[in-house]
Amino acid sequence: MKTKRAPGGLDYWMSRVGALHVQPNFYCAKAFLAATGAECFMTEDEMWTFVLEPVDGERICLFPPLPTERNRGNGLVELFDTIWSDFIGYPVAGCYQREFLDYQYIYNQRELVRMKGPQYATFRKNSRKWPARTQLKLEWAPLSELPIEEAQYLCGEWIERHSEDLQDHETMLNYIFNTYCGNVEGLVDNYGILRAIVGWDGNHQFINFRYCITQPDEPFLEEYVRLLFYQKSYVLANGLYRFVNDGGVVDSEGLERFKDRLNPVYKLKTYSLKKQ
Amino acid sequence: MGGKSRKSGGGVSKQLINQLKYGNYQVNDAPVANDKRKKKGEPREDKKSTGGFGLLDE
Repeated sequence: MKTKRAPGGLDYWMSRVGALHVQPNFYCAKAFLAATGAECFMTEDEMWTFVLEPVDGERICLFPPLPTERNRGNGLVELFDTIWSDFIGYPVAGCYQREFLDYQYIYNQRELVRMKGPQYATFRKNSRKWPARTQLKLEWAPLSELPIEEAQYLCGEWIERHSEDLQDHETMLNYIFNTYCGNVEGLVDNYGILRAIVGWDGNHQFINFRYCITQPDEPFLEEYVRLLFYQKSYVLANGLYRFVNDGGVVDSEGLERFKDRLNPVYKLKTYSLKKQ
Repeated sequence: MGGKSRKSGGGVSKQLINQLKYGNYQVNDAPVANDKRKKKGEPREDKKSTGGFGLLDE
């Protein structure tokens, strides 16, 4: 198959996702894709467009190919043997078999911030523990205005602590320090100490809570930071019906239990597609 | 949080962790706010973040 780079690159891809009303998954955001090094291509006849990421010396197709605006017939294609992540409800050719990839947790930030009712009892209690114990308040600051050594040290400590089960840390570091496409902010305490780094982005449907890096050995700091982000996301949504996509569990049963207890509006499944 | 790996194998090297912790990790220059970036130990102004609203409208 002959392909060429799509004019407009990832912006073009995101515009097709929006124009076709595809429900974007957690990975479908320009900031994340830019951090992976993925690029947008199209078939030489300009009928189909897709995103390819260079991995292990090959290019893998990240999502089902989408018809370009020239393609009036739509239809289904079998351009690739494997597609890393499907779109929920988006039709694909019958030759593909689905293989579970990860969940996607969708939260209503308004409910999560209010924390009303017994279903939020655990989060309500845990998210208040760190500020109550330390008597510290955290404030948001753009990472680009904080000392880079402190940000890198925090990332190094966090990665070291999670090194056994961490996946795709290269993309995370690119996102935070290299591609400057997402929103990355630090949370700094009263004494100017950087306690956490949060990365988020969006697409036409969701605010994506992408990364949450907190100081190790600070019990319940992560819960507090999560609450602060959800408070912020309520402002970011700006009154629009725009829930938060909190991503998946990356094969972690503990993370799945934690996210289940936060009462998601939807717990969706994402699949990889493989030709039979 | 984050995403699943697309690579075979993987794992985090001790060298990368040390680079991050001891200031040898190479980064691209930030396109904005480099002049605003504080040095280590430099006092911070009491300033609210902008929230980066524009970047959500992809």
